[in-house]
Parts: sequence; C-alpha cells; structure tokens
Amino acid sequence: MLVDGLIYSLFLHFIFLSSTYALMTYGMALICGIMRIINVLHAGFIMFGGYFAYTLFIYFGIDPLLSSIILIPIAFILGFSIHRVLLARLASISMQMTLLLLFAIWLIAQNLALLVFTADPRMIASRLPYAFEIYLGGVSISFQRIVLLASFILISFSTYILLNRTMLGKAIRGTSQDEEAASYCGVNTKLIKDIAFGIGTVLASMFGALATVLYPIDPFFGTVFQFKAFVITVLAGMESIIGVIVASMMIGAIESVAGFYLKFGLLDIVTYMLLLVILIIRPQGLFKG
Amino acid sequence: MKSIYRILVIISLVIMVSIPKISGADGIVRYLLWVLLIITLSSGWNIIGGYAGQFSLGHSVFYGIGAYIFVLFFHSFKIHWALSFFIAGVFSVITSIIVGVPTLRLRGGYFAVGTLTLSEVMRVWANNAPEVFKGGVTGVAVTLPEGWSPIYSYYLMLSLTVVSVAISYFVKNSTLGLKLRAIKDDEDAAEGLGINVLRCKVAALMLSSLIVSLAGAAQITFTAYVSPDSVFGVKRSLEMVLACLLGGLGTLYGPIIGGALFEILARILWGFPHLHLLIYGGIIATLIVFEPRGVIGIADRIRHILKSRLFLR
Repeated sequence: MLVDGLIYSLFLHFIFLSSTYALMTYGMALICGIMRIINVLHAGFIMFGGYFAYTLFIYFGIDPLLSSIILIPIAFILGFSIHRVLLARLASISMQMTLLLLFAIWLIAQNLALLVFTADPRMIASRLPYAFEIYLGGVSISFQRIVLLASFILISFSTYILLNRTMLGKAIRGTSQDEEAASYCGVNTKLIKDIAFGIGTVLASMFGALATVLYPIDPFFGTVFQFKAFVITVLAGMESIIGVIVASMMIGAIESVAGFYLKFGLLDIVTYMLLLVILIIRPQGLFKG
Repeated sequence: MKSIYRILVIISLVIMVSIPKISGADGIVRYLLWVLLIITLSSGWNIIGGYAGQFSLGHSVFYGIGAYIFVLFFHSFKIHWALSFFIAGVFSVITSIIVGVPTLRLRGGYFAVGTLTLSEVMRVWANNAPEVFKGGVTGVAVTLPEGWSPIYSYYLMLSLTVVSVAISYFVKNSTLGLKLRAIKDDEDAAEGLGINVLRCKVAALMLSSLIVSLAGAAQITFTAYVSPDSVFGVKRSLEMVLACLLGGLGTLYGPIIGGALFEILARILWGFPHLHLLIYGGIIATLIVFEPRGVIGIADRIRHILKSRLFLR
C-alpha cells in the first residue's frame, strides 16, 4: 500500500507540474511558432501579469482569478503595440536584432520592477480564500493547485478553440505555415502577426496573474519559467497545443526524476542542458517531420 | 588619408604608454584599466558578433573560463603569471572548439539562445561546484605577487588591447574576414560559393574567445577577485554587445569608441545599482530601433548632411 501511495502522490505532483508548465508555455509557443521570434520578453510578460494581480489584490482586494480576466484587454494592447511599433519594422532586418531588442526591453521591465517593487518576494497566496488543504485519496493537496489545474484546462480548451475553430485561428495558422500563400488568400498577414503577438502576451501574463495564486513573485520571477518555456516550445516543435502539453509532460517527468537524485541548485542545469542538446540535435523539434 | 591614420595611431599609443609615467599609479590609470578591458572584450566579441554576424550572448563563458583557469594555476598552483596566462588562453581556445562546433550550426537567434543558455549553465554549475570552481558562490580573493602595482596591470592590459585590435585589423583585411562578411550577409549563398561556413565561424569564435579569455585572466591582476556571478553573469556578455552596438557593429574602430563611451556611461551610473541596467536596456533598444550602426553610423549621417549642405567633396 505504501508504494501505491508514493506512486499516487508522485503522479499527482507530475500532473500539477506539467499542467503549470504547459500553461506558461502557450504564449511562448504562439509567438515563437508564428512569428519565428525568440521571445526573450516572455519572462517580462509573466512578471507583468504577476505584479498586476498583486497590485490589484493589495489595493482593491480583487482576486487574482478576476484580475487575470481584467488583464486580457490590457495585455493584448501592450503586446499588439510592442509588435506594431517596435518589432514589425525589425522583422525584415534580422532575427538577432529582434532578439536583442526584446532582451533590452526585458532588462528595462525587470529593473523597473526592481525599482518599484524592490527585490523582496511578494506573496499573496496565503491570504486568498482558497488557501486550504483538501484530501484526495489520502494525499493532502492545497486547493490552489486545483485552481491552477482548472484554469489550465479552461485556457487550453479556449486556446484550442481559438486556434482551430475560428477564422482568426485559421488565419494565424495559415500565416505561420506560409506567409506568402496566406497573403494571397486575402489574409492581412501584418495585422495577423500583431494580433498573434498580442494573444501570446495575453497568455503569458495570464499565467503570471494565475501563478500568484500559488507562487511568491519577485522581479526574477519568470526567468526560470522562460527558459523552461523555451525548452518545451523547442521540444514541441512550436506548433500545436497538443504538442505543448505532451512536451510539458515530458519535462515534468524528467524533472520529477532528476529532482530525486540531484541537489536543488543543480536541477535547473538539467533543463538547460536538455535545451542545448535538443537545439543541436533536432532544432526543428521532436514532433515535426 | 592612410598616413594620417597611421600618425594618429602612433600618437595615441605614445600617449597611452606615457600616461602612467606622468600620473603615477592612481586615479586615471585605475580608470583607464577598465576602459582598456571593455575595449578588449568588445573587440574580441566583434570578431564573431560583428564580422561574422553571429550574436553570442554567452561570451562570459570564455571570460569566466579565462579568469578561473588563471586563478587555478596562478593562485592555487603558484605558477608564474605569464605561464598561467598562456594556459588560460590555450584552455579557452580548446573550449571554444568544443562549444563552437555544435552551437555554431545553429542559425541566427538560436545561436544567441544557445550561448545564453550555456552561460547560465556555467553560472549555475560554478555556484554549485566549489570543488571545481575555487571558492564556490562567495568567490575567491587572489593574492598578487609582492610588489605588483597597477602600472604592471596597465601595461599588460594595454598590450592586450593593442594585440586584440591588431588581430581585428588583420582578420578584417584577410580572406577569413571576407568570408565572414559573406556569411553575415547570407549563409546559404556563402555555402554555395564553396565557403566552409562552419569552419570559418569556428575560426572566428576561436580568435574571439582567445581575446576575451585573456582579458578575463588579465582583469584578475587588478580586481584580485573572482566569483561565479561576477564572471559568468549575463551582465558581462551584455556589456560587450552594448559597447559594440554603441560604437558600431562590425567595424574596426567601433569597439574602441564604444568601449570608451561605455565606460564613461558606467562611471556616471556608478551609484545607481538598478538604474544602470535599465539605462543599458534603454540605450540598446533606442540604438537598435533608430541607428543600428551606432556612433559610427551617426557620424556617417552627420558627414552626409554636411556634405550635401556645404557642397563639400
């Protein structure tokens, strides 16, 4: 019975971990997949969402779940205008300049956060109404994880519908597959790219807001997530929602096992090394041709 | 025109050599050490990032390896500093081959991400493995030989800078330089012309890492301290890129002008710990959006305007 319990709790841990990873990756996957932009600003968007939810909770007592919905239009406008004003004109010049520009914006955002919020981790998770433990089959789980899992399912489902069942989604996927062909079909590819970047931003910052339910936030919040999101994106081949979920489960499984054997500080190296190895061996992703 | 440049170079060299004789070991020499360091670093970065167009965001790997190998041999094994210096250079070139052959297959932005990841791997590893990297997280203070004065470091740094600018000059005017420029413009076309793209890139990375690692070793002689975050941190790599961008990517004088400007900027922002990274970011963003060619590009524009306004030649 003891072994059964261990496996069961490991399995629960694995489910929660990989759903969190998938949730944080959607924004990155969308932006990397469609615009071929390596979004090093992803961490900035996550941090933005996190501090947004934190500020709303502290000053107005608004629940992070609600503020993640308030965030949608704001983050969309933010991402849309960053792409429209700054990135669109660089895209034709070089991928590296775009990357460097995003990196620069991230530096600005991170250090602004350091100035405004200081480096102290901010925690609101314990003050939320759903900060209690429940027992699932004999294992105690904090209810926040269930909240995260539920939002993961909801967001995955709506992103899937958006990308696969609407005209906008069709246009986005068409643009990502062949920009020229899409523009012959009457798609305004420039606008679609702006919109896709906006949606990516929304997804990333929604994750940031939802993460405050469980994690403390600080200005470095998101940096580790960003690397992991990139690993997952590269693994998934920058294409589909399903690919992202499968890749997240792989990373979740690898980390659960590696966390068992390695000391804590070295755990991140596993993911980093994995990224390097995948980039070198299969830059087109594991699930692609 | 050529002779004017030559005279200018000789004059500035004479000035640089005689400065410590005039001012002594303090003040301006200590400041110039940092200027020379950043010029050396950015002209080293410029070979791979500017000439070959491969943006490495992880050059702190070579900087850190240079520093740590130097500390290992000089501080722990008590080997003569010149020999430790040499060993640090050799070790870094070997590392650059090991690192370069796989990562340089990556195109464009993926190379940048790959090298950035590599520098993070090194930083985390160095923080967690005190048995390999002496001192662990807290770093190690290096004892310098008796009677060592900053003036020695100054001449060491100055000769290193001269060597690195000379290497940049020869690379730029060699067949390798031409090949690198072709690779920068269009990798597929360069391959089609029969250029061995990977070999050229690796050669550029070797030269670049040699310069950067020697600079990393040389800075030990005046900072006398090394820690994982100070040498493997992203900030170091960014400084090289920023100095290059400020001056002008892929030009010979760019890193020199950019390095000097950068150090002035760093001095002004000395007292504002968070503000300076914020301003670095702001400058990089502004430069990329408005003038990716840096100061040299701005000077070019001004000259252009003057020419058309004043009907100069």
